Amino acid sequence: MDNWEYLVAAYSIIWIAIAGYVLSLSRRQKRPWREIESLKARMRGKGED
Amino acid sequence: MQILKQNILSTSALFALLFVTMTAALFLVFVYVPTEATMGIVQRIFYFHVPLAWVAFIAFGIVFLGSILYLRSSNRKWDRLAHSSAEIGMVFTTLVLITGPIWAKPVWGVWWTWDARLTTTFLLWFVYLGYLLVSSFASDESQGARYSAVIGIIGFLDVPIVALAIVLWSTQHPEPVMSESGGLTGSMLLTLMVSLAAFTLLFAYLLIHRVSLATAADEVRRLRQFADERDYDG
Repeated sequence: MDNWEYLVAAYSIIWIAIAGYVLSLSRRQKRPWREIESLKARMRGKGED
Repeated sequence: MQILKQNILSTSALFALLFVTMTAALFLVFVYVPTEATMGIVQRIFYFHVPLAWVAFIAFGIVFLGSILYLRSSNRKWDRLAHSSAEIGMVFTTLVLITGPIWAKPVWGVWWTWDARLTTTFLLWFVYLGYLLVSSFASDESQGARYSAVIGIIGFLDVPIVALAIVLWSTQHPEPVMSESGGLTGSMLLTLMVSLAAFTLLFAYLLIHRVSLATAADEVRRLRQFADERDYDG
């Protein structure tokens, strides 16, 4: 039985999904850093760091 | 910030180990292991399909434990662990539900059949979708965490049902690979074991990052609350 297309499809989907999830994690990890910077700026504005 | 930096450093060794193991798994799947006589090349899907299911079960086991510990202690760290694990478990269960039909089509002639293993796995996906939705949409954070913890405990009952479905009911799904009639040769078993190790490491790596993200988000929320109370906006 030669069903290469099914094998390629399965492994491609697995790696695309895992890469997509890793990418989404890395994007979401930037959010708290940005918020901390904005909080720092707020506090500096009030003369406290 | 310090927590995130420490996490990046501590997960570097894990990432190196994951990279080596995953590369070995891919080599074994595509180069080393012989093609199975009956199903042909498409049987190689099995070497990633089974580890995906394995990792999903581990993930939901952690949700179960984290949920019990959260309900007992009300400590947010257990909810963060359970929620992070549920999210990763959902990704892997989705992949199980996609790769299964891709294997089934050339072997069974159909993409999907409502047999016991497939149906209970489909149900599992909905249970943990419910878990994630409840915690996301709850108006009160701690109430949402409590409700989702209850789902995380009750929902885990489906995991042994999925695992035992092929023993309890007559299904089209292949028999357990470790059984006498499961019939994996030495090289096939080695390939499966290395893939299981690689996916377990991948899960650990993703979980560490996901928990660190949840911890940082909670910390930022706490700081924002503090800043609001101190009226830093003026």
